Amino acid sequence: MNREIGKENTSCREDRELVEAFQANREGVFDKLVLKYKDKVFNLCYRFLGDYEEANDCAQEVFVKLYRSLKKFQQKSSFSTWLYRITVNTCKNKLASSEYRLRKKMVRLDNPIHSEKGTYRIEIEDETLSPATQLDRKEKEMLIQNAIGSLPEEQKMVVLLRDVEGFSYEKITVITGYNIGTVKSKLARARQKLREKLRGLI
Amino acid sequence: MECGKIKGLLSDYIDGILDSETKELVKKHLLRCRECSKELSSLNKYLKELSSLQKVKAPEDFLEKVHQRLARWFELKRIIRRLFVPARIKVPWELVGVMTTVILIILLYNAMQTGRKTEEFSLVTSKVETPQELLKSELHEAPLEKERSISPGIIPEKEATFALRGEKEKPLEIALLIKPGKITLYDKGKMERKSVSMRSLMDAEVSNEVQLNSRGPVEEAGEKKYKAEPILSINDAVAEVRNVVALAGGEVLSVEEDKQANISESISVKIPAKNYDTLLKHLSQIGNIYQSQVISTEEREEPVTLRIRVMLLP
Repeated sequence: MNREIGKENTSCREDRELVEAFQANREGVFDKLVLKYKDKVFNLCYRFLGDYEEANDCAQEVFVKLYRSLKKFQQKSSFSTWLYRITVNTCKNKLASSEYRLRKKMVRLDNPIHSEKGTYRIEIEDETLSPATQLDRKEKEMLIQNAIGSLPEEQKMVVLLRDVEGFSYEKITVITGYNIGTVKSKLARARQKLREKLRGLI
Repeated sequence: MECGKIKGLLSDYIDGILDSETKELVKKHLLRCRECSKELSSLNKYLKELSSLQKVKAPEDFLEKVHQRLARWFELKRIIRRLFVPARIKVPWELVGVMTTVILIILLYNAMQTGRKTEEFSLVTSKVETPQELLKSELHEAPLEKERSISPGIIPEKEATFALRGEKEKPLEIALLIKPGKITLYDKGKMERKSVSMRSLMDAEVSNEVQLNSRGPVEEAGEKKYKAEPILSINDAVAEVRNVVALAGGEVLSVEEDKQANISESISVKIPAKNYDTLLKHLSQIGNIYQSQVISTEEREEPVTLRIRVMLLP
C-alpha cells in the first residue's frame, strides 16, 4: 500500500514537471504526457462508450482539448485528476451528441435486415444467465460491459471511476463534481443494479 | 440492526468509509447473519470481476492520430486568424468607431428630415379638398407649385423675384376666391363698385342698364364704365382679372393653368407700385383676396410683380 502511494506521488511529481516544461514551451513534453496516459484515457473512454472506434475518437479529442488548455492549467489539483475530468466530460458530450445516438440506434426486428452495407443480424440479449453456462473470459467481459453500459450515465461514471479504475472517493468527487454523499449513494445503487444484471455470472 | 439496513451499508463497509462504530455493528451482524455474509461475498466477487476487467489499450498509431488532429486544429486556427486579422498595420479602432457613429447619426438625421418633409407634403395634398384650402396652402407651400402644368403657347414667367431694400424676396402671391354668379361693375372715375346679384342682374337686363354680351370698358353716359357678365367659369374669372389689371394700369405677363384647371388658374401680373393698392381694391370687388405677404408701396418706384391665383368657389 505504501509502495502504491509512493508510486503515485512519484507519478504526480513527474506530471507536475512535465506540465511546467510544457508551459515553458519545451518540445516533446506533450508527447510524453500522451504516451503516459493514452491507455488509461482510452480504457476509460472505451468502458464509458462501449465501442472501440468511438473510444478512439473520444480519447483523441481528450488530448486535443488537453493541448489547448494545458497552458492555463494552474495545478491546483493533480494533473491526472484534471485529465480524467476532461475525459469524463468529453465522454458525456459524446453520449449526448445526436451523431452518436444515431449510430447507436437499436434495431429490434426478428428478421435480418438487408441494406447496402450488408446484412445485419439481430442480437437478443439474454439477461438471465444460467450458472451452468460456461463462458470464456471475452464473453464474460462483453456481458459486464453491456451491463455497465445499461446503467444511467451518472451511475456508470462513478462505477467506472471507483470499481473499474479504483480511484479514491476524494478523486472521484473532484473528477465528477459531486459531493461525497452523492458519490456513495450513486455507487451503492449502481453496484446493486449491476449485481442484479450479472446474477448467475458472478 | 435489520438485514435490510446492513445490506445498504455493505457498499460503504467494503470501501472502508464507515465510521468505526457503524463498522463494528456491521461486523458483528455479519458474524451471526449468513444471508448478509453471502451478500458481502457476492459484492466482493463483483468488485473483483470489475477491477480485473481487461485494460483496453489505445491503438498503436494513437499519438500520430492526435498529432494529425492537432495539425487540423492549428490550420483552422491559422485560417481564423487570417480571416479576422488580415491587416498588418495597426487600425485605430476607436477612431473607426467614432467615425461610424457620426456617419450613422448624419444618415439617421437626414432620413428623419426627409420623412418629415414627405409627411408634411402628403398631409397638404390629402388635406386640400376645397378650393379655399388649396389656395391657402398654395400661399405657404412651395411643393404644390411644381404640380402645375403649363398650358402650351404661354411662356411661363420665371419665378418672380424683386429686390426690396436690397434683399431678395419671394414672388408676391395673391389668392382670389370668387363665388360664381356674381357680377361687378367698376366706375373708372370714382372707382366705385356696384355689386349686383343674379336677381338684380336679370332686372338690369330687362331694363337694359347693363349689357351682358360684352366684357370690358364701354362708354356709357359720357363716362368710361366697366361692366361685367356674371362669372360662371374660370375663363370668366380670368377675363375679369385681366380687365381689373388693365384698369389698374398693370400688364398681364402670363396665364398658367393649374392642375385643377377647371376651377383655378394663375395669372402673373406686373403693375406699377403706386397702383398696387388700387388693384387690390378692384380684386376685392371680384372676390375675397388673400395675400402671402403685405408690402409697402409708398416709397417704392419699381413695378410690383405678383401672381394671382384665381379660384372658383363651389
